[in-house]
Amino acid sequence: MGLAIVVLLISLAFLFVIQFTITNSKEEPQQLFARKQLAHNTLSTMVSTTTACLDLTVKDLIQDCMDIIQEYDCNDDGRPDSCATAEEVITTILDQTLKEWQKNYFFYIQLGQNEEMQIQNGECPGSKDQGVAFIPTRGGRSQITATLEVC
Amino acid sequence: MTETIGIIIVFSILIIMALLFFTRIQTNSVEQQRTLISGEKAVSISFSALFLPELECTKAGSDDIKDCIDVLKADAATEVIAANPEYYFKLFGYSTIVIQEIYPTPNEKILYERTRNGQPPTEDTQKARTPIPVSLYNPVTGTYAFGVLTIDSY
Repeated sequence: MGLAIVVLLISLAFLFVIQFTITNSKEEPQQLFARKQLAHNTLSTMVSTTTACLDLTVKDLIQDCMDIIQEYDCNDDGRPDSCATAEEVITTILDQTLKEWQKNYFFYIQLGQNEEMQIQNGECPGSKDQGVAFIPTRGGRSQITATLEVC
Repeated sequence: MTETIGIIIVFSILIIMALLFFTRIQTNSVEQQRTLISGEKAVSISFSALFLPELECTKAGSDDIKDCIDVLKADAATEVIAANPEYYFKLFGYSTIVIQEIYPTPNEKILYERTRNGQPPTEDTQKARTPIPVSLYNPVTGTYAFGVLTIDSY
């Protein structure tokens, strides 16, 4: 009888510990705020950043990259390289921020429905926050969509 | 008799474990409460810093660039903040505000720093950190760098 009471007490104690652990893993307000605005802020700031390539912004480079005929030659080798430069700048920024803060992310650019560029850090199976930037193509024929998903 | 002694021993162990557990919970909840308050303050400070006229971009037609800091204003603001610590303490409290340029030229500037013990913060100092990506506008060159405004609230 005594042993049964002890076992019951231990079981109750375990239940209490489990319940305490579960209810304690709640997200704090500043973590929630930081997470919610992170994807959108990172993307909008990144798109408007001036690059070392001819003082063009990331948005200009993406626009040129998605055009049928590319114009910008950033390394003066006679060949347009806006796509490579845009990818390099975006990778540098995301590596120094989200990757440094140990956050997985998935960045991609779509021209219409087609996915044209992808930069990824880790897998993103669970919930994620999304930031989207719409960039018109130079000719205005279609729309470029840049999306950043932060896990 | 043996069973009674055994139960008393096990029961005493359980009571000791429960006491240790509750003491730990109590300590944790006080720390959590402090972190929670620091976190709420960090959010409030980050809004204060982002919309501070001493830092905000004022380029005509720059309404579409949100979360923008004028780097020349930030240079001047650092001196103004250092010269008027009591005024800015009311705005920022016990916190450290750092403007960090990520691209193209990595560098960082401490805009404001005040800890509870008056000493520079260490890795062990308990804080709630809120990083906010911001555009760093240089009105002389007309360029935008990618930066992060980091608020550590103590």
